[in-house]
Amino acid sequence: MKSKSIKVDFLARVEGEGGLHLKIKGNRVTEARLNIFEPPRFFEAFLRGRNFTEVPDITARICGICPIAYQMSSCHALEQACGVTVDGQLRELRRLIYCGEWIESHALHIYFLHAPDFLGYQDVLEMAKDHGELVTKALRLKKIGNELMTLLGGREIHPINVRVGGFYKVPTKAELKRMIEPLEWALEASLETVKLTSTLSFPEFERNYEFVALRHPDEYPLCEGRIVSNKGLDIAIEEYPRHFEEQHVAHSTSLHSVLKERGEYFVGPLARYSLNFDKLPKPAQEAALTAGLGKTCTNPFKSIIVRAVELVFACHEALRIINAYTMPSHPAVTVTPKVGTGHGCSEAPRGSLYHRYTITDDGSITAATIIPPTSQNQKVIERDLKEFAATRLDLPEEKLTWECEQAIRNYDPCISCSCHFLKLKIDRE
Amino acid sequence: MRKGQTVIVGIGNEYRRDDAAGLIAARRLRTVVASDVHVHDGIADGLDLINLWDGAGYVIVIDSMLSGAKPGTIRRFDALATPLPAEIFRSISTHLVNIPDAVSLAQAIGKLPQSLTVYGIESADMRYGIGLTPAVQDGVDAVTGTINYELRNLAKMLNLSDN
Repeated sequence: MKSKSIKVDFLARVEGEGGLHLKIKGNRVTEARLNIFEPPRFFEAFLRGRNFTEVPDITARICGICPIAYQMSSCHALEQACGVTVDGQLRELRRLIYCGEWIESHALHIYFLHAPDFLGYQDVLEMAKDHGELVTKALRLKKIGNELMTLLGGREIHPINVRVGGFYKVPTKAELKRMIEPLEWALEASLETVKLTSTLSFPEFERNYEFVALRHPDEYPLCEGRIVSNKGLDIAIEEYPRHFEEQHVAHSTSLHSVLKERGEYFVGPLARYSLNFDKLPKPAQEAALTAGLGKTCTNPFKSIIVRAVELVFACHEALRIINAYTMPSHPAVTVTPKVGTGHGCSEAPRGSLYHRYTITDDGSITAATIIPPTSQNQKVIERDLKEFAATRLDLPEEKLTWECEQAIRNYDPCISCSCHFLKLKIDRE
Repeated sequence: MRKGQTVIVGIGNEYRRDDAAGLIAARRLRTVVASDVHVHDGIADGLDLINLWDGAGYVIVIDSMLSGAKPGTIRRFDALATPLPAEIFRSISTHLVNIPDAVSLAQAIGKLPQSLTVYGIESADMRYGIGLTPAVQDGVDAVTGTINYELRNLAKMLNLSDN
């Protein structure tokens, strides 16, 4: 029986370095691997011994596109360990800076990384020659997201104004009101993005996923909630270790995460949307339904529409927070360290990001665990590849390879985030 | 040349030794240029460059380069006249859009400034760490002097064309 392999050494239009490898025997895909070979970055190891106040600044360095996600998950975990809740306007400011990150990250992915696939271009440069107005819109959306992050975080790459307990400095109402006009434009642009993405052609491909995301009783989730799934999971964030575990696989420097009882699961926009449609603001719900989405979505190629719907949410939420804002009297609540372990989970643009820290009474970190969304999605990406490719084995190899790469880009993988290797084992002979 | 905002952008990563050359040059220039010149040193991604250029008159970008020349060598490119050589301004990160691609993208969507000059400073060491190698430090000194002189001449030209 004839065997062949399809191998892409370096995936294009994903964040970070990864490859894919399919093994095909006859008319069956026998193996699909997402090869991650970025070197392990050892954050969990070198956080040990650092003071808890340093964690948001250090973990922000894990990602240049989603630093707020790391800062929020780490702050919430450490605040839980210290028995502190950040509420009121400080809580709203945290949601606001997170909206900035969602806007810039989703705009980047939709237009620069994913749209070229659907419109038939090799890359955004080729796409720009025919669709300059789309790229211009995307740049402005990204700029608005970055401006919101800079206003609240001090700068958009590795923000410096976030700390355990809140912020170092909070904006005045006047400073925030300057963002209203750009965000109103961004809201319109996001609604146009939903319409545009709804006109794209999507492969017929759906699977019975186990979606996992935060769910909050009052809002579309960003920083708080319970961890739920569409297959019965409903747990407090601190119960995460009892239900999930990380596995090391030979072909990836990124650990694979699984549900202990059921294996692979899916985090990210599709999961959030499918588990929280009822918490979206009305304009986002209406845009989604008009675009042809149901209240759940199980076609990963339609993640581009869902990201556009989340752009609408982020702009709407940002405007809501700014319009209701009153400047808090203090930029942060006092946080006194105490012995204990804290858990935090927030919704990075790419999905749930879990942090756990153990600290001593002087605030030193003795253990750290960071589980990014891309680690959690690796198994579901590989299964998608296997099942998707199986339906297309009659395609010419170049086209099949391209479509498999597109399938990976559905997940907007952040590969360099996913490499957090805790244990280094050296065997010397 | 019409008047428009003058912008200087220093590109690089200050934790990758000589890759910080552009950043350090921009920070030095910030202390000596006129107050109406906008100096940016926190830019790493070409997409953000395009947003900065938009509507600007005279833009200077400073970055480290790898061309095989002697470390510290300075090269000046008119990015609107000829394509930037991609191989010498390649990004050391796979996560970011490099300068040549940013210029091409900006050209495709009509977002180039009136004038775009790129100064490359030849690097010797881009490993992790802080601090420039001595030859590259000399290159930074040279390029800041050159750009300062260029901006003073530009200001004189613009004043003459106003009068």
